[in-house]
Amino acid sequence: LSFDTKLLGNPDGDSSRREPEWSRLFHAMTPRLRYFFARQVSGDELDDLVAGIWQRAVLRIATLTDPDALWSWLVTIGVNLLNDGRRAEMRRDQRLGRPIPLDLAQADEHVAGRIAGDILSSSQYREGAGLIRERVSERDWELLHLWAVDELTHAEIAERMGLASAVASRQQVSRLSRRLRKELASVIKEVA
Amino acid sequence: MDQLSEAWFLRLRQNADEVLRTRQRAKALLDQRPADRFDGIGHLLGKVLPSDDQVITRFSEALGIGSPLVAQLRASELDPVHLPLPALVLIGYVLELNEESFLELVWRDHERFVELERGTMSRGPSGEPADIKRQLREAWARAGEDDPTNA
Repeated sequence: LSFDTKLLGNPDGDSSRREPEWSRLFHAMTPRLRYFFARQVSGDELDDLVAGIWQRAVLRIATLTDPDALWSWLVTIGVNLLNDGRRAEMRRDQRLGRPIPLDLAQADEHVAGRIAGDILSSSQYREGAGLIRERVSERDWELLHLWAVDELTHAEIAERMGLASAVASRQQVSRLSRRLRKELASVIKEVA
Repeated sequence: MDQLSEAWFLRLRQNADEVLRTRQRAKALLDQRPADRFDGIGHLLGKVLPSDDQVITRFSEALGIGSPLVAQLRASELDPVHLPLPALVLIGYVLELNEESFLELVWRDHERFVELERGTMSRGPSGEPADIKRQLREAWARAGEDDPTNA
């Protein structure tokens, strides 16, 4: 799945190519976003969340310079929206807002989905998690969990992992997830 | 219109295209004239967002705020801090401003209105200037979290 994000972000681009490209993106990503976030929200809340992701993404697609980061960016917007809700809940109830706990297998699959939910079908999440697990060190696996499952901010991850800064955490996560995405895509292609 | 339907998405995108065009115009304008040469965020918005009602309606819908507010803002007839801050900071991002330029331009408009409305502010963020600035900075940082560079 690849999309011409430069064309998508150009409001005066060739509409005979741009309209179908937008439509293709919407139809490809909406079910994948639903599947990924269905572990955390359901029903109308899930629809609202996915709609909220699109509402933000269409406004800022022009600033997306790396087409390979598209899925990761859409998920990041979704996670931020969920965290907005949790922050509001914390303010309202003075409760600690944290992601819904996932069991171990679900958590591992969630890591796979966060990295490559656009190229994995729902039945490949578990296999994807296993492939990722084989390809990273213990420390990197922990880093990915803190990012994808615990949804810590990069500043929090840096503190927990003893990294120099939030920027260092962001760079490590970004480098790791790009490498793993490529490797997963290659495995899927081979299998197909 | 059903949320997440094809028609819903088409409408969403048509509205967003107005925002993307405004961004392009802002980028071109700021290449010629630095942000600090504008009297406020309303002044800059007025230069890059046409006054056409339909354009303003699409732009406003994309940002989730009422079109009269945007029309007033682009005419420098509204204190920007009376807008919902998430929408205001999105306008800042659309206008290709950095955080400091955004705060500076919002503050120029705000101070002018405070002078005019001295003691009568009743809507929007209230409190000391430092508190309003803090809220603006927080809203700016939150919008920054959705930036593709954070993906």
